Amino acid sequence: MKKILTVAAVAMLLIACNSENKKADVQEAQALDFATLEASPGEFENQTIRVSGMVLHVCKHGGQKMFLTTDSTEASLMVRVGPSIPEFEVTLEGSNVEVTGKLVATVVSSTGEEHDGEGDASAASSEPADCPTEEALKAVGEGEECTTSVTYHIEATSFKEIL
Amino acid sequence: MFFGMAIVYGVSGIALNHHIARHWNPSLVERSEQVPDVTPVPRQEVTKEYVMQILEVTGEMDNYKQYYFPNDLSLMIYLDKGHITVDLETGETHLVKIRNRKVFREMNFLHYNKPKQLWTYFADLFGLSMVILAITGLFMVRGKKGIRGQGAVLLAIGIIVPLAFLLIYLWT
Repeated sequence: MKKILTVAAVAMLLIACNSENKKADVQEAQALDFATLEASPGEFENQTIRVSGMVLHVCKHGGQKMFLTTDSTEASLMVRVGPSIPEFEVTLEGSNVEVTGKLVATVVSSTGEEHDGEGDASAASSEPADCPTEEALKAVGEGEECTTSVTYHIEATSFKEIL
Repeated sequence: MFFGMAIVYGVSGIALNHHIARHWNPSLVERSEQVPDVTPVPRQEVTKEYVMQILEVTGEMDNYKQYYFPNDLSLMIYLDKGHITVDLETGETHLVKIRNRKVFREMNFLHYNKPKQLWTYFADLFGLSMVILAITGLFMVRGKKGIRGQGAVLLAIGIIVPLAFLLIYLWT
């Protein structure tokens, strides 16, 4: 019995440590409005940011992705669950949320192939294609038209509903 | 010790098989019903009052969150556990209610390893125990029904069937 209690105590400690990390992430995150992020997402690539918006859609097959938008734009931003979030509940649709997480870039070629091994990123907000891949640079060098684009999504470490 | 785990993985395994086959969504129940059409208006003329009228007709006033235009011809009214879609050209209106499917949702939550962290290791332990069970199970029965008799045939079937499916659907 003592052994079981010891294991349980260690488990609780691990979980508690994890929630401390989440709090630290929220404090360190740079708060951005949707328009700033939409205008120049490349500036914030791989940075921990905090952004708010309305949940437009939650993927119903697993709840691993959701899409945010605001009144001021027609673009949407994809948010994926990070390691500390089990899922996004479908009941979040239509709610306003504040998401904290890392902004991650995904390079998509004209054939729809993604270069980071991630899933669908087509609905994420994007900036004009700047051909950052070696394949694209080679294609330009050979006189072919550059057809890659970069899309961005947030890998969320935490989120909360706001009014 | 792993009774609960075997039930969780067995039942949700069947549920997820049919989820992947697009027979159903084992985690959610989604019901869509057509409600009386509303007066069609252009997007520019949609007001909070117009939305409130729709909520009153559908009896969803208490569940209202906010509204949004997916495009110029449709209106989406978000509700607590659902939404209303309005075709602004025709006035055709649908009410969609969504709720979690009890028991299956919980089982799938674990099967998909959504808790992550410690659950990963506990589930690994269960997986490992299944491997040990499979290997030691080969030698549990002795004699004609054992691995040197009837058991060998059953073992061969258990290996050939998945290989046959791979051959048909993946390797050709």
